[in-house]
Amino acid sequence: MTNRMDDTDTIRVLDDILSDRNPLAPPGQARASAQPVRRRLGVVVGGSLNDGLDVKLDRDTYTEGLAVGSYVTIDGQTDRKFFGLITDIRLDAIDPNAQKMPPPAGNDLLAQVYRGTTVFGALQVKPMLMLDRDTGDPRPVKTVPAHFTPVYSATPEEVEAIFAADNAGKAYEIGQSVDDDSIKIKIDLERFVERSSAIFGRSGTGKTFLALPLLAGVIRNEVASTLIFDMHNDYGYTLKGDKGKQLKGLKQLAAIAPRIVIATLDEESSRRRNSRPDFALRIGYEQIEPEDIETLQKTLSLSDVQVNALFALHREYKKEWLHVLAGESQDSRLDEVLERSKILDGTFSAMQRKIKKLLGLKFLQPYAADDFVGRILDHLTRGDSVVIEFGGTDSLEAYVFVSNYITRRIHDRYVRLKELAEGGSGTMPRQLVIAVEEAHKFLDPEVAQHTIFGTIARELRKYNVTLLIIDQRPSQIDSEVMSQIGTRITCALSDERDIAAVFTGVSGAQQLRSVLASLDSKQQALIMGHAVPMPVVVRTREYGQAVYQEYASSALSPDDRHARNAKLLGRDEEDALVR
Amino acid sequence: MIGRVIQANMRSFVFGTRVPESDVPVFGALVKTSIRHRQATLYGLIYDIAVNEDDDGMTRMLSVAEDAREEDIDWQRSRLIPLNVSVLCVGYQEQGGPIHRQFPPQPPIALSEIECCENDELIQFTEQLDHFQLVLDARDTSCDELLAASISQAAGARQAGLRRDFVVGCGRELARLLMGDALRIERIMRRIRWDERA
Ligand SMILES: Nc1ncnc2c1ncn2[C@@H]1O[C@H](COP(=O)(O)OP(=O)(O)O)[C@@H](O)[C@H]1O
Ligand SMILES: [Mg+2]
Repeated sequence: MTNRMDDTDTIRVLDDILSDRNPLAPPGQARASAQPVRRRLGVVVGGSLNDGLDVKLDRDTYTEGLAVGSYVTIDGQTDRKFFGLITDIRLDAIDPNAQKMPPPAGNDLLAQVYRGTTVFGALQVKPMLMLDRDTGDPRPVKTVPAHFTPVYSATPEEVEAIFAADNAGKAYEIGQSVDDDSIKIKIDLERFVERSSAIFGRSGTGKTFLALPLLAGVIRNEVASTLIFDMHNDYGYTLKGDKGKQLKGLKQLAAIAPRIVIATLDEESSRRRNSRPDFALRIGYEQIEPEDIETLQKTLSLSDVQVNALFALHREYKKEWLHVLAGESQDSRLDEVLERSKILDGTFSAMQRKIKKLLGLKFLQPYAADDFVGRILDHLTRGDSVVIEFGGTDSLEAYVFVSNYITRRIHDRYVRLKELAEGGSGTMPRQLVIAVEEAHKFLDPEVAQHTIFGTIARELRKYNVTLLIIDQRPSQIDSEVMSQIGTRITCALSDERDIAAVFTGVSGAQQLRSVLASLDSKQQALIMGHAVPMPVVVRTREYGQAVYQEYASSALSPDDRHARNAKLLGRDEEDALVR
Repeated sequence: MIGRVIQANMRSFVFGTRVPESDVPVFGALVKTSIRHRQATLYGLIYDIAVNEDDDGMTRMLSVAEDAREEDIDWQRSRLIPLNVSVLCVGYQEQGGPIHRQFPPQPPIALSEIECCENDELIQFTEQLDHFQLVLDARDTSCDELLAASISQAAGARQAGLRRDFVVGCGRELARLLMGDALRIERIMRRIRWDERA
């Protein structure tokens, strides 16, 4: 140690004191960090790959200028650069006496002497990835840098280069780094839809406001069609903000509007809200199969015997089975059938009561004018996206029934398409993302066994169908489904069980928990998994004017539009060639 | 010249001097002498000053005399009875070379001349603080007191405005050397005195 400072030292100290990162800088004199310099923070002094690195801060590094969730870079000894995430900031001491007997009040001198020597700031840094020496490509970390390797704050360039750098075309800007607005964080949309993903967070943390523009990005970049089960009527035409504010839904974003189809389950509500649905979704009794009702076994509290009876009735009456069960059509053979199928009278009437409650839903009608669900499927396979508005229909039965009903048919269709494609006749089905709000209602461990969503999460990836789960109670989602989720976007959570659920199967979860705990209650999220090279904390992009602007004009060229219209009108390729 | 070496070893030496005037010699002061080896200058810190008895026992008698006269005391004091001043070696400098803050290669020989260091020399010597370790190792001296006294003097030698920074720097070096032993650091720091204005 020397008390002599050469000029560069002096300048450095002065810069630090006047830096805008120093919260104590004299007001009015603080210098905005002109160009992002790599600021040295400290040196690695210990730790492990699993538990993270211990970094001792340099004396002139202000702990107040650091934040959990921001990145550091560490230059390895062999030209490899390590990237790490700050997971904890600690005040440490060589001699615990200094903490038990702090310098007396007013003794600045002693405090100044202790700081950086006897007591010091320390970081917990989780190594996230390593840049390949030759190509600069990110690689998973398998080792740690040596003792006393200097640690720097990562510059915007360094961070931006990592996120979606190699997929510039399909990169989606999901937000900014929490400690530097100028760092744009992008995720790779193709990877995002390739596996099921999830957006978690307490109610009111901004899940819907995050999901809507994200889905818009998916649609615009044509990485997938989307089917959105919109329980709260947020996605279609208007998104409800705080204080009665109305924001644009997908249909109002000009650039993608032609590709959005809104189907409503509650025409009256849609008319009242002026949400301009493309059609009202109706399902006729004859279009319903016993499997569709079986998925509601728990919700309707049907016994196993009653479920078996459903199948028996269907075998007997085929398409008319629900009409009979609902008492819509009288059948003289009924008593005989019941006896033959060993269905007790009591069972039948109990079942009837429960089913009638379901059939009271407005969109279920004895006879439907059209195969509306078939239309939805056609839109999806053509590349359009469909929003299913529930309107005032807020019963759980309705939600579970409709989403299972549609999704089962998607399942069948995609499996068939895929098999055809593999057999050489036809093309692979387009990637499809099914977004479900309040997903725990379908994916809780008991229900997931029966509903189609469990199956999709588990196996439909093979058929190009994935889920986007939007939910506030991750702990109530079947763990097997959770384990299939590739990308997890997590806003603030408070319940311990929910937090634990989000981190199941994540390495180094313990340290990331503290990052999650540091999130603001709104508009901040921890993203980890398949679509990002390393976990990252973002302030999600403000949804509003700036985003509208980006979607202002249709991105389609006249040629593209022509081709699209041809497709919408049902003309095939040859027709298009004739034009 | 304030005195000459009486005895010496590698770590320390003793020189004789007359009864002190006002501030020469004082505890903690930096003094210098020369050694034969490459005509190097040897630096040391005064860590003890001992008042000796005379051989004929006059001082002893005067100390208990009930009617000692002022003239007798003054006369006794004016006799050539040297003070023994002990000095801890803290560094040396070969001619034209850098200052090494470590033990010298040789001790000074008997009757080498001792001189006080002026402010600029004191500043130069304390630009680096590697000699702190030598002081801390000298357990037979009151090393904490010695460090505090020498830091106070080195701070005072500096321009007003630079003193506090110097003291903080010394404190940090101490903290490093003492492995953060908070109690001991605090004890030493409390003993350092300087005045930023003077
Ligand atoms: N990205 C964002 N842009 C603008 N406002 C946001 C954003 N995220 C959250 N908000 C605000 O927070 C409120 C709650 O967000 P919301 O998405 O409805 O929460 P959740 O779906 O998690 O219950 C919104 O009404 C809005 O005012
Ligand atoms: Mg919501």
